[in-house]
Amino acid sequence: MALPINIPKLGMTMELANLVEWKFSEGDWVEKDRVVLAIETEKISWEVPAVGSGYLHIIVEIGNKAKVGAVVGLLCPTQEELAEVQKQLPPAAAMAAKPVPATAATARTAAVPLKTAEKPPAPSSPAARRLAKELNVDLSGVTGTGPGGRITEADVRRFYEEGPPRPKITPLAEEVARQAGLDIMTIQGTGNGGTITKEDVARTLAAGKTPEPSAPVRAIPFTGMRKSIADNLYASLHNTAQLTTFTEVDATEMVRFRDLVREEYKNDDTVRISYNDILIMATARALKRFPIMNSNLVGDEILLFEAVHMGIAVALPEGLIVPVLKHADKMNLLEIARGARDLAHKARAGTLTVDEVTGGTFTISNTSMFPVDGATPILKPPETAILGISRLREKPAVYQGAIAIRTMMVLSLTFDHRVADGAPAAEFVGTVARYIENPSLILA
Amino acid sequence: MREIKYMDAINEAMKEEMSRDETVYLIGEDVSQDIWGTSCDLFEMFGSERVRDTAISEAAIIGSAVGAAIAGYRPVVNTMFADFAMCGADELLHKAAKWRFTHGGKIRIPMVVRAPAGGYSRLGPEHSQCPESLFMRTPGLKIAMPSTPYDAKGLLKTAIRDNNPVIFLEHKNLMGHTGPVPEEEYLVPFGVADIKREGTDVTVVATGFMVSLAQEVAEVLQQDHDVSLEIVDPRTLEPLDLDTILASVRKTKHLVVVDEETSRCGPAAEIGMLVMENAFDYLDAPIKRVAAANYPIPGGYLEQFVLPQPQAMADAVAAVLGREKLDLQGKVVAKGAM
Repeated sequence: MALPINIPKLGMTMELANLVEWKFSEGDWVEKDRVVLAIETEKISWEVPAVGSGYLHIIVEIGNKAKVGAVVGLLCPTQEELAEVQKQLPPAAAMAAKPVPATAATARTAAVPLKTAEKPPAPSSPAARRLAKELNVDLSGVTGTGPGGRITEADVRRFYEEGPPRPKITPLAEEVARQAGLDIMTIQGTGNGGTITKEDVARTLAAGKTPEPSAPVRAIPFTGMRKSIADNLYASLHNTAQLTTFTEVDATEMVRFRDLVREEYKNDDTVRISYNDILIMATARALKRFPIMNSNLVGDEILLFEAVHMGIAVALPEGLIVPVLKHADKMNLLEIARGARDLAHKARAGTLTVDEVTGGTFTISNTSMFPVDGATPILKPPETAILGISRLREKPAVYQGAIAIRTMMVLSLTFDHRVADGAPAAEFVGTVARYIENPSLILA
Repeated sequence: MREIKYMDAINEAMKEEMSRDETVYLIGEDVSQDIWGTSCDLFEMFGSERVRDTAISEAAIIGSAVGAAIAGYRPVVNTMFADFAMCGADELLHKAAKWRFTHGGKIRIPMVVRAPAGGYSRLGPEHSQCPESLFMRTPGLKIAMPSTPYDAKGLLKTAIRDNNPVIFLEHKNLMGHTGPVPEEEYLVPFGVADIKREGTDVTVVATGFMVSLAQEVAEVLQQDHDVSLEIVDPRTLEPLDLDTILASVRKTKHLVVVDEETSRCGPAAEIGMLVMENAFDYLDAPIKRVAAANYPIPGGYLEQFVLPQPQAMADAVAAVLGREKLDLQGKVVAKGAM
């Protein structure tokens, strides 16, 4: 009896997974517990181990999406059984878009093809083709006005003289496209008479279909993590009212505090305190005083949380991921340091679970390793605020009535103005600033 | 310029050529009092030797004309109905058309066969035809199809002076049409098309009675639908002025060919094919033709369902332009002579 390879459910909200790579080929022998398939969701990548040993039969090819629980492959104990299932279930390549029929293995698979059918080329008249050849015009860009959309000679001449015709577009869509820096010529309109609507702009942005004006040197697939980052960031900016405030902070005392703690625990290899840990602690404590900043906006309710689940943005080569340090408000500094380091390791190893990247109530984006003094971090909805940490820098500053060299840094707080007013946000970031300026206040 | 009728223009052409050249003579059934009114007063002026009434035999009329032409005369035959030329088909299509070739160019056959053609008068299948394709596919014959009094006179004088057999397809419906014709002598050369109306959107090639019908259609389309037709009248189908047709097609990118002949293997089929062979790369749409349906032409009420109608021309124009419908609202009607 063949063993199914299912799409695992990796979190409460997961519905679909993208099939990234089959680690074995059709018919290969796969040992139990070997990684047989790589998948990715909007949030994470995951490797699916084989539940038993067997000859691999691939049902859903890579590049397709499959629902949680779907059988995307089978492991057959014998060659004979492999031949049998290959006969029953057509080879993956031949069934691009067809759903898999139910089998004895109760395979239920929804293979969603990613590619949409290509539009047939527009017809062109002989005269149009002749002129296009003479003028070296690419007919694929010319809009036909003849019967059935046929490209006429006049269409080619107009295209040559005036460039591509300006597509019909709604005022709102035009504004959205302008703000996104999207060339409207690249958007396929689906509205009335091919009019470009706001949805078309959003879809084009989401699909990342903006072609480069000149031939690219190489193409990075706009899929997986990159794509979901893009979708999330765009959705965030599109759906919230973001405001960023900046506060310059004298971090000299925090530096001293960090050095003090390091000196205290210098013989403990399991922990190494960083500024980041102190900032997590200071922010988590400040959030307890400003619950509105530790909230999610869900539907028509602002949910205030007792616990602080601190999202910590971690940069990876392929993008950014935000693991969540649960109950950061209850942790002491050493626990925060250990927890944060553990999450960062997992993020880089790609072993974070979905639950470790969801459920955040607030996020810290630390860019202190980069030579920038402030940013406008983008909210992670449904969270209400995100705190950006810039680099520490020695600067002349007024200290106790005189000019002194102090270690300064800038806090950048982006918050959703729909949820919080400016005053609590300012007071909140002011509190974090005071904690940094005087870390012993955190104890209070 | 004075305006005279088409039939009077034909009469003037014969009168002038008969006066100019005494080898020119007129022959046919009842030709001294032609039923279309083209030869009144010729009998009085030139007498029975040069205006010769005959027995009812097209074979004899055309056959004798071929002989006389070989002997040095310039006979002008009137068949009364183009349909009747068929009765002298052997003499016309074989002897007249081919004998100069079979005799190695040693003889010449300068004769004209006037063949009043066309329908819309509800005269039935044997008195309504416009059989130009029959002559077009007979090498050795020249074919003139005048659409105006001016062309009728100029072309007939050229036909009479031509040293080859010419079929002169004058249209029965046009006999009463008036148009400007100069007092002074002029000729209309063969093989030179005339642009009867300048336009930009669609080229309409039309001959004979179809020219005036197309002009009326063009006027309504311009007024009501802002569509500009260019009407090219080849005037002679052999020789055919293809260059003018091609130049117009290169300008408008669209072609509708209109003729009154049966559509299958008709002049529209030939002209459309020539344009396809020579100007395919200038077309923005497939060529459309408007011609008579592939049926015998009925007498009476049913005739309108076979012969080409003005709205069909507008429909063809709409089709090549990709327009929904260009409704003439009955403003143009194809009227017969009777």
